[in-house]
Amino acid sequence: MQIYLPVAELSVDVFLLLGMGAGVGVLSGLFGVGGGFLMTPLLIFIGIPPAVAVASEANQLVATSVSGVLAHWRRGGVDFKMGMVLLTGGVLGSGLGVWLFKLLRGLGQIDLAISLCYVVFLGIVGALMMSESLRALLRKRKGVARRGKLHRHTWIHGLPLKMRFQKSRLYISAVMPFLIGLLVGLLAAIMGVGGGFIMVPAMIYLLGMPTAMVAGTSLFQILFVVSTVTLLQSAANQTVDVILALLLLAGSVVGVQVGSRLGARLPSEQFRVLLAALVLAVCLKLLFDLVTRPDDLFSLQPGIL
Amino acid sequence: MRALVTVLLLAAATPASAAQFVVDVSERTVAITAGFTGAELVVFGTAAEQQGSAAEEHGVIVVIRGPEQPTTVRRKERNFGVWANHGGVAFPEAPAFVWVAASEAFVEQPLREVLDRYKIGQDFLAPEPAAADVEALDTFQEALVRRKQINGLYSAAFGHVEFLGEHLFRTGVVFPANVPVGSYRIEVFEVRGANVVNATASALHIRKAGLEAAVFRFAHDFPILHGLVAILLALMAGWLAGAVARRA
Repeated sequence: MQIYLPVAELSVDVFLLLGMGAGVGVLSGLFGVGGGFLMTPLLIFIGIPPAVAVASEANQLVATSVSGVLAHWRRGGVDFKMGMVLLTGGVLGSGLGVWLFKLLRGLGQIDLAISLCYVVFLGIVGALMMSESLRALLRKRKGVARRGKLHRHTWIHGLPLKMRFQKSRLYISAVMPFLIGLLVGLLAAIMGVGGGFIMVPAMIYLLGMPTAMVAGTSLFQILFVVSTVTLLQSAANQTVDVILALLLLAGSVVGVQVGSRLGARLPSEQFRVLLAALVLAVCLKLLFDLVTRPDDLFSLQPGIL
Repeated sequence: MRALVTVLLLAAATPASAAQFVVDVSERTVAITAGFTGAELVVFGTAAEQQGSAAEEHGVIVVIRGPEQPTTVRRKERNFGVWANHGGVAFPEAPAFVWVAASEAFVEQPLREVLDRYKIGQDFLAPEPAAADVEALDTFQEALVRRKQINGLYSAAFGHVEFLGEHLFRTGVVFPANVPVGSYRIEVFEVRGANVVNATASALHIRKAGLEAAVFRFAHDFPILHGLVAILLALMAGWLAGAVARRA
């Protein structure tokens, strides 16, 4: 059954969109990621204009993150003070990102920018995740529990504007979370992702936040950043397709539940390796498309330079 | 009243052999609704002269042109191992849609001659670029036509105008699902030899209707409010999903 998407201005199979939502939803539930990094490239792949894909995916992520935030908040897993600092950076970053998006679109380089961002960030995160989870897997096999230092003093602790984050039991400079928020906001606007796959490692390794606080706090920041991106993309570029977002959402709601139930029964270390492999596969596919000669060197873009 | 009767009598007195050149289309507007997968229209009419009555080739050419849409053609080049857009040519008046059909006597070469002589559809065959001094301009023009043909918006081959009897003709045109909205022009030419003996033009409107139109207008007329509503809808959907999942 075909449905005409009013903003994307093309007609797509309803069941394809529901299926994509469900499929990515299962993976999100399984691994606890938003799934934007899979959904946006998929949308572009089926022919949705990149600008519409990025903006509508941000809209869908609002729904995905709100239920997560509520669940973590009930368990007391959200550090609101840290969240606000991240968010300040995030709102600024997403504003900057939407502006940059408009500029690059005018130059005809937005597709390239999106692809390059994906290749770089998925490559870094995928490689880190892969090595980390493989090491964890090996450690488990050997049965050696290595205990690290409780607190490592690095250059990050020398930054000014120190703040006390009671919930995370941290006394660190606000500059670092602000910068992380800024970067994630920027990427959210350009790549149509929540940015959890960058923020979660950054919060654990750079800020040293307790794991119990990481998921809830990052979702809190993501909720507000993707909302900001949705609003700004709608206002500046008119590229948010609500019908598209709602269809993806309907599929993903079901998928996430299936995925999280599956995830509870499966060994987590092996699955982290799988997620890393998936991230690297998406990265390599995009890299391949960038370096191979396209079938047609020419493309059309509405409007004048 | 008397004048009207006189006109009617005069009309009735016109000899049947010299038919009037009349053209119509099966629908004057095409509405794009949620289930839109394209539309098929029939353009039909009567030719003034008899088909095949004289030695000279006689027939009908139908041209449908969509609204002018400024379009930029980009060309990719390899830089640092990566294929990226590098340079482009803008075509300020490229028609969004072009479709040409002709009766049997006018296919390929003779049709192109007639089209060129009367500048019918010439602008789609050679769009006038803003920058005329660009190197290899014709490759950009060809690319524009090629990309549009791949998207089904420019006819790759000429359609056929079919004659039913001596005067009546018809042809079917298919608009794909990605057809742009706007005002279209339907031009019909009756041709004898290389001369256009009759011509008419009429308008066709393709527009969004129902929910699709409402959503599109809302997104473009009230972009900020639209963004807020989009966020609110997603928030409600997410909250509802979470609530249902907790019950289950």
